[in-house]
Amino acid sequence: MADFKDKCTIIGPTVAIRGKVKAGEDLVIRGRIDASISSTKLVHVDKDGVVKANVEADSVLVSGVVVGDITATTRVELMGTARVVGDIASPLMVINDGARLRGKIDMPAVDKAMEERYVEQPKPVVQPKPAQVAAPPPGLAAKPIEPARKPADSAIPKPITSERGTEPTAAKVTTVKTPDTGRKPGNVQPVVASGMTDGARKPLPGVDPKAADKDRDLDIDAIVDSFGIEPEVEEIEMGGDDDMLSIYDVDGQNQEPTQVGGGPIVAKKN
Amino acid sequence: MSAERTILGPTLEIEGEIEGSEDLVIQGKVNGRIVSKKSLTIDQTGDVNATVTTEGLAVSGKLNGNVEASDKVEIRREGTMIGDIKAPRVVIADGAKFKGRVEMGVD
Repeated sequence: MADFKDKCTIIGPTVAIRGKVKAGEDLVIRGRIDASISSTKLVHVDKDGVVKANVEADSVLVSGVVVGDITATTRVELMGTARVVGDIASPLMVINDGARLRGKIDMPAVDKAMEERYVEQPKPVVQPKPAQVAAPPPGLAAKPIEPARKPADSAIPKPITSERGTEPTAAKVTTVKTPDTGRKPGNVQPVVASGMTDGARKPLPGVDPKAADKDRDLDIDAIVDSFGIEPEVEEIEMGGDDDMLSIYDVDGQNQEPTQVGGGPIVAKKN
Repeated sequence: MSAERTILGPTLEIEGEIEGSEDLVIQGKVNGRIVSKKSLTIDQTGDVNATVTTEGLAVSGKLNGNVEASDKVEIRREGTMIGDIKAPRVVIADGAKFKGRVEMGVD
């Protein structure tokens, strides 16, 4: 409790907040908050606490009531007295005996593990050249994936180079670009393409292409979501490890932080 | 311990409305409206942009907004306030910055 006094903000039982709350320090809620909460640290909804809004934080500990979605970058724990209605997304999740929850639980780590498996599966489908659509898939697959390897080969690259004469390098560049751009945006197609490259090496027969596509779509959505969260976390954690004050400056206080943060940003834009 | 007192720490940013029946200390940033049945203290790091209704108010930080207090408003030496004050008792300390109207009449 001594720690609470120093580093924590405790919102007492008679306090009600409506609107938006942002915190760069641990937050203990004993009152009522009808406000979206975003924190770079711990949010603890105490026994008497009632939160009716979405909660985003590094970790969330619920002993009270939360009606809304909970998103944590590290951990969510529901104590025995917790009452939660809403979806929870967190890499680590603890539900203690007695807690009541109605909602979905999404653990990005699970998605990643699943994705890896499904990435391997699609490979077989593409590579084996099954009976279904033999000609079109290899052609499509060959462009993004194999160009880097095949240019050295004889068949396809030669005619192109011979026609244009001095453009072999250009052809290589373009081939290189397609895979890169595919990875960055994180769209559905790029992911599939990368999977196919890997898959070419490890064929796994017996997978329904339709089912695999569905799974891929689901995974990708989840992955995109998780990616959207993770970069922020990494930045925050870096600052936190180095210096507590730096977190506070960046997130919380206006004066120093705005000046410090604003300078470089403006400079970059110019 | 701090049951009758809530401290909103320096990294806290609140947009919206705060209501409380206990002493409130604001060290962070608040935009919106504050209603307190007890005392409200804006610490040096506090930056409040809100309409305040309270019993007692002490400003050591920045306050931008109108204040209605049933007891007392005090702007301390480090404090800066822009807005109108309506309270039976008003104290403005030496060094404090204030811009606004003061109304001490009993209404």
